[in-house]
Amino acid sequence: MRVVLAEDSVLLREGLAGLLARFGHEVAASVGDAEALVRAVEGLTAAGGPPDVVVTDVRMPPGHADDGLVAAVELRRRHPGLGILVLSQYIADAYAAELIERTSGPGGVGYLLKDRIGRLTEFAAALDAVAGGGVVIDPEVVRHLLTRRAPGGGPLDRLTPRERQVLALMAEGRANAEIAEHLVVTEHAVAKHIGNIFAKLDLSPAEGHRRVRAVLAYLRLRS
Amino acid sequence: MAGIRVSPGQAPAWAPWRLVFSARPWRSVAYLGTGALVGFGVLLCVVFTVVAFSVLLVPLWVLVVAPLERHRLRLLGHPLLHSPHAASASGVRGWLREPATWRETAWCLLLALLGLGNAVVLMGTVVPAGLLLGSPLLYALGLLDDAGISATSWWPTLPLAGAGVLTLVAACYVWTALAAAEAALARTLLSPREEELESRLAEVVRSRITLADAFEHERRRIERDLHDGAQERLVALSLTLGLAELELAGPESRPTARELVARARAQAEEAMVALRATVRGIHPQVLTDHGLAEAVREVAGRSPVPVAVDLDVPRLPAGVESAAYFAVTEALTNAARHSGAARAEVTGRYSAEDGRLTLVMRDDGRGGARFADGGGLAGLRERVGVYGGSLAVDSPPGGPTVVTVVVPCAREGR
Repeated sequence: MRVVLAEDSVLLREGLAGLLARFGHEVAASVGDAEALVRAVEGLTAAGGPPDVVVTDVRMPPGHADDGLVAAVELRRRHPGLGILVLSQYIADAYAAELIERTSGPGGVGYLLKDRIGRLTEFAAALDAVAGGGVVIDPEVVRHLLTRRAPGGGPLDRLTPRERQVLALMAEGRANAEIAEHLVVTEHAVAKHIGNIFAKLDLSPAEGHRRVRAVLAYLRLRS
Repeated sequence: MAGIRVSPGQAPAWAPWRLVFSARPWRSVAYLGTGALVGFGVLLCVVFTVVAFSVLLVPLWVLVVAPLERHRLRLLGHPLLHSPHAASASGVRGWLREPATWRETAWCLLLALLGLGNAVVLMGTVVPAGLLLGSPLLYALGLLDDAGISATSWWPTLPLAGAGVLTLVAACYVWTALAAAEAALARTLLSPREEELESRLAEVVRSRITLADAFEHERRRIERDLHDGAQERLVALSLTLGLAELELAGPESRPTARELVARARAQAEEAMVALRATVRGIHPQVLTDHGLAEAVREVAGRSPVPVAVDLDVPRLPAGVESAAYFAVTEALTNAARHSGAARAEVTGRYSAEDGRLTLVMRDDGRGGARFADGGGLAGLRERVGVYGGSLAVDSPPGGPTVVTVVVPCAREGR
């Protein structure tokens, strides 16, 4: 796949470029700030070779705040099919939520902690999932969201421990078959759990990554 | 007279006795006389200049004299007066522009006269009183005769000594009255005016805010340095270790080496997790990017005690957000560590009419929380106080504990 890479640390940018090449991806452009990211994607698109995925750091020049994330969201608004994988140092789910809530369209979305980069196969799988239109949220961020304890019984208290496990894996963007394999149960059992979860959370079951969006948005609202 | 040429600077060539009949002596008188006038004029100018300069320098002498004078007032039991000058020094020009400097100058000049008066009064009382009191002694030493007073026996000196005692008693009243009058005048001229006290207070408040902002700025700088430095390097390290792991997974792999590399990568990840927690404690970036409400929700989510968060606040000045955030974390930490609380809640509102942020942290623990010197709550009270806010703790034994933070501030359009 064609990837545009945005990361302000030169050391890390070169490391990531090497890693992407190692997995057979083409790094179409590699930039160090949010404005250059927008220019690079627009330039490639105008030249007739749009990237499949943008891999970007959250915090980048010029503002050194969440410039990278904001630029990625804006690019996604202009190009609904563009996959976005955001790399971050922050567990705070406000960032993941900003990404999930402000992007729409068929393209995939991912929010990974930078810790995950060292686990190359996991990282490569997440990149593939995003390129394939899926949603991937870092397990650590999901766990943080799920273990959030609201007094007086949040919506999660209505779920059984097994259903929580299934929900966590769903939030990581896993398909039913993967969840079944991970929990050593049948796919049919997983489907049943998911049905229960949606019923207990008063959500309408939706296919694909929309269900992840729905679950995350719901959890953030209610916890 | 005619025909005699007097060349200047040269002895006359004619007979010395003819000098008397020449114009030379008169011219000389005129020369010397006008010399005296000019010389006197110059002398006057020099004296005048020196005096004028000295007077101009008086405002600078008061640098030393005024503090001394304020200390001297303590001889009469007055408390030490505060300096009326602004705390921030702004050079000689600024010093001269302050009204306080000129009041002190006035006192210094006045003291030059009053000091003379003091000396006269002291001499005029101590010397006669001493002489009168000491007259029997003077008689015994035979000094009265030397002074031309003929005394044949010692007893006539007794009334003199009595008059001495009376003089001394009267002098006590004179001294006290005079000193009190001078001190009153000195206090009027040397103490700070109300507006000076107010501007000093305003200055102190400003410098406290500057200090707190600098502290805040420094925290952000450390956070940024860690983020751009150590954190990124650790990520790069774990990436390299990941690549090494991949290389060692080939067919001719060495399982032990691969396992060691995997362990090293896991350790790098642990270092990242630990460093992230440290960085968050220094300054959580979510506070800068998303504001107080999100940052509090995040920290509440990590609390071992379930926390209900109900915050409705706009973006506020960075220093206020930071002080409020750390007040919440401290209250939640206390709730989790010491109070044995089963639940806690954080409520926050911003009132646009009063322009103030109100945060209430409540837990159902056993109470008894208080400000300890150097404790977290005391430090936070100071930090909130910098912005003119207050932090109150209500924690009766048996609970509940309620920590209330109120900070006046403007909303910030970010």
